[in-house]
Amino acid sequence: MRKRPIRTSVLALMWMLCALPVVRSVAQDGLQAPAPPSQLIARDRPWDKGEKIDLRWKLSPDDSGTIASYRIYRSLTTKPAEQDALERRIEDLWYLFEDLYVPMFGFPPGWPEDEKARYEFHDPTPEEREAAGTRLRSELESLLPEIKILAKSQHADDYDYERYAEAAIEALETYLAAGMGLVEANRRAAAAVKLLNHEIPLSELQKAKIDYENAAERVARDAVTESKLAGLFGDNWKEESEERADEIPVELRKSLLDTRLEAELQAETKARREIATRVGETRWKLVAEVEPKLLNIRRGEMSYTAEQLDRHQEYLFKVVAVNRAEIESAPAIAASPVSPDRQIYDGNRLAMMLVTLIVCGAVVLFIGIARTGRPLKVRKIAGLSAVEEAVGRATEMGRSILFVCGIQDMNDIQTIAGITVLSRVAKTAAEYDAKIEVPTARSLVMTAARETVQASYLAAGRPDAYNEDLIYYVTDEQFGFVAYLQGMMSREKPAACFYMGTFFAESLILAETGNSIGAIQIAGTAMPAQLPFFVAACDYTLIGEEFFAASAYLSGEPDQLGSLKGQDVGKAVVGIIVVLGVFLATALSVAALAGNEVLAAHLEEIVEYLQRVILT
Amino acid sequence: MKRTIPLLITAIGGFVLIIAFFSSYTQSWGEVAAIWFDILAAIAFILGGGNLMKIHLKKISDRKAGWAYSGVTLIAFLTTLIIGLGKIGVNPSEQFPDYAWSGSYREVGGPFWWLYEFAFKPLTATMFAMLAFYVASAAFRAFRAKNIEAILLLGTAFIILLGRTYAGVWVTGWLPEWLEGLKLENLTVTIMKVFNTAGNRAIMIGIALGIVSTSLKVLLGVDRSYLGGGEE
Repeated sequence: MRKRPIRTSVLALMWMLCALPVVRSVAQDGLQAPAPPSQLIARDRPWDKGEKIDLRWKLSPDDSGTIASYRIYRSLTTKPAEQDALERRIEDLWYLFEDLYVPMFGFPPGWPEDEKARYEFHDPTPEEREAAGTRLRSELESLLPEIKILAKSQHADDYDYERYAEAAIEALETYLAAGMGLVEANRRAAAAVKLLNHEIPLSELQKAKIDYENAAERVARDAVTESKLAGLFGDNWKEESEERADEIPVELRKSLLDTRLEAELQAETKARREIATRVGETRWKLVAEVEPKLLNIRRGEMSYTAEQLDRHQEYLFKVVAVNRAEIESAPAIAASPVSPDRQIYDGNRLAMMLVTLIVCGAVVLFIGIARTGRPLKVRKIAGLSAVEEAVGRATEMGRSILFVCGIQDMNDIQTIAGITVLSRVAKTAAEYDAKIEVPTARSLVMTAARETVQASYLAAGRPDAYNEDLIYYVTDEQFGFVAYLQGMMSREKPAACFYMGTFFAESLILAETGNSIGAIQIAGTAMPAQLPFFVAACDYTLIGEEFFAASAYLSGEPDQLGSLKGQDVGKAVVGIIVVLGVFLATALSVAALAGNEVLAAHLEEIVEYLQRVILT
Repeated sequence: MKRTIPLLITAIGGFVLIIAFFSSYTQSWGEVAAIWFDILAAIAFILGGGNLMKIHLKKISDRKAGWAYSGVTLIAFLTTLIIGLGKIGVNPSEQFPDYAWSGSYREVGGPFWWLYEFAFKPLTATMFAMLAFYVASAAFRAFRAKNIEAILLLGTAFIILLGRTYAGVWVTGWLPEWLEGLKLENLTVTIMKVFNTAGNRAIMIGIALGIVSTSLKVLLGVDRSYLGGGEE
């Protein structure tokens, strides 16, 4: 019995000895700041638009499992002169607010004693209230546009002007709610929100509206509190409630904490504090938090590219290591501020330029080869081979041909492709003496289509048969255009319908109507979402690239056929990149499954490069 | 000459914008060109309006079949135009209360707003709603099991449609965890994510190359049909 306490003590001692390193390690990991990173170098990113800076630093010596991440900070941009001026005006506005508010409504609770001497309280007349309200409102309204303009400027991110806008709105609402009654306040505050309607982003507007609703709710609640206070202390409840605060019941005291006067004091104090902290103070902004990867730990260094910077500003950077307990190390600060520089060539678009050169070069090369007279084979496209059949059918039946060039304007490449097909179809129609009708959804398309069809009739040797009234403008409105076409198709029953261009929801409505009247239908579009509808309802559909190949196919000109061959080179390039990407992604998965972390990390870097640089 | 100058404008404008795209200094030129286009399109709208009047007045005067529809079109067009341009029934704005036309033509409660809300919107919504019936009739035709491809299409459509309803979840809800992938809702996701995405991307790549090729043909003047053919 006597040995047990000793054995227990020994065991406890052993446990403590064993636990000590663990406790120390926990203390080191969790409570002490980690060792800082070092040798932070900040350099302008070469070949960019002047908005990026490359950072590179040596990892913290503790980076063997205890470092969770690195936080990258940058200094805020130099304060522009216009901001200084604006801040002064906002501060003046606050003083004006005080000067107008206090004499009318007394001192809010907690008002500094030394400032009370500045004011002389008197009961204002309704005219005085109205005059004060008008003045404050006009001041606010003259200030708000400036705030909004600056809020959208490049410095907005750093200085958060929109908060000033919110503070100003809040002041307006508070004043109005207090001085003019809830109904009038509602009207005026709604006007303030409306004032911002077109210029502040929707999210900010929603915030402002929520703030407004909260303010209105608060005022309603305050009215109840005030009436209770008036019941307790009589007409002089404002002064009495301050002096005899102890007599206020606990529940009422709680609601009093939420009263308007208290809330507006808090809002004002907050806004004043913000203004004070911003004047002439250097602050850091968190740019990113990055986790070290296996390869970074092996190399002992990390890099990061800070983006969306202003090339007219200088930036100082610092990096801190953060351990798992979220404790930051001392910072590694770059030796000097750096300013991003703009170069003539945007290196981010290098990959795209290479692809453009290869594809365009191939197209031009094959056009050249075609001009030498070498025969080029192009596969048969059923939809295009059926053009003649469709026009012939319309001629035999004595009915018209309907051609729709989509619902977009001439700046859409699909409309241009549609017009080029129209020129071939119109030529065939002219040769067969068939009537072709082209309703358009855009005025410019109508003009281009008229020129095209006229030239086709001329080329077919039938300029006299051309009737410009058959190519006309209907409406820009999507469903208005569809309604017209549906009606026209049902009444006139064209024998052949061509839909070549950009289509949206109207594709199926048109194609189904054409189907119901028994017309032969040929569609071509590069809108993937509309292709299934055309495939389901039309006799022939030109899918994507076939649509763009239509003009070359129908013309049969060597120049144009050469361009089709050039496209094949582009396909080969894309094919190689796809195969490479699939191979790398598969290898990455296999390496990760096999536990080869180093290979997986290398492959991940390559895949990331492909995704971030080549494919974007 | 009639073709040469437009071709030159096209070629110079096109190539300058392509080169501008790759330079940091000139990347915003594309936006400027888009604004120019908007101005041109706005002017062309007058042309469109004039053409609309001409065509429909001619139909009415010739008493062509369906001329009454032309009458309705013209009345609707002129009513909307006059109310919108004249800002009829619009109150002056708060900022400029002394100027009769300072209010927005889209003012809530105004005649133009009324036309938009109670005439235009219901009409376009009606047209859009008709799509549902057309989808049904097109699906009925497309999903007829005529051959192997149509059967595959029908099967896939069946899985997708069912997998996106509660009935689909309920039908295969009994499957054990190791057959999770065969549940209809999961099969739907797989079909959309793998097969549909792969097919869609193939089409998109073809479209992108087609756009490059067509643009080049237009810029180089190889294809002049959009200008009315190659003849001078």
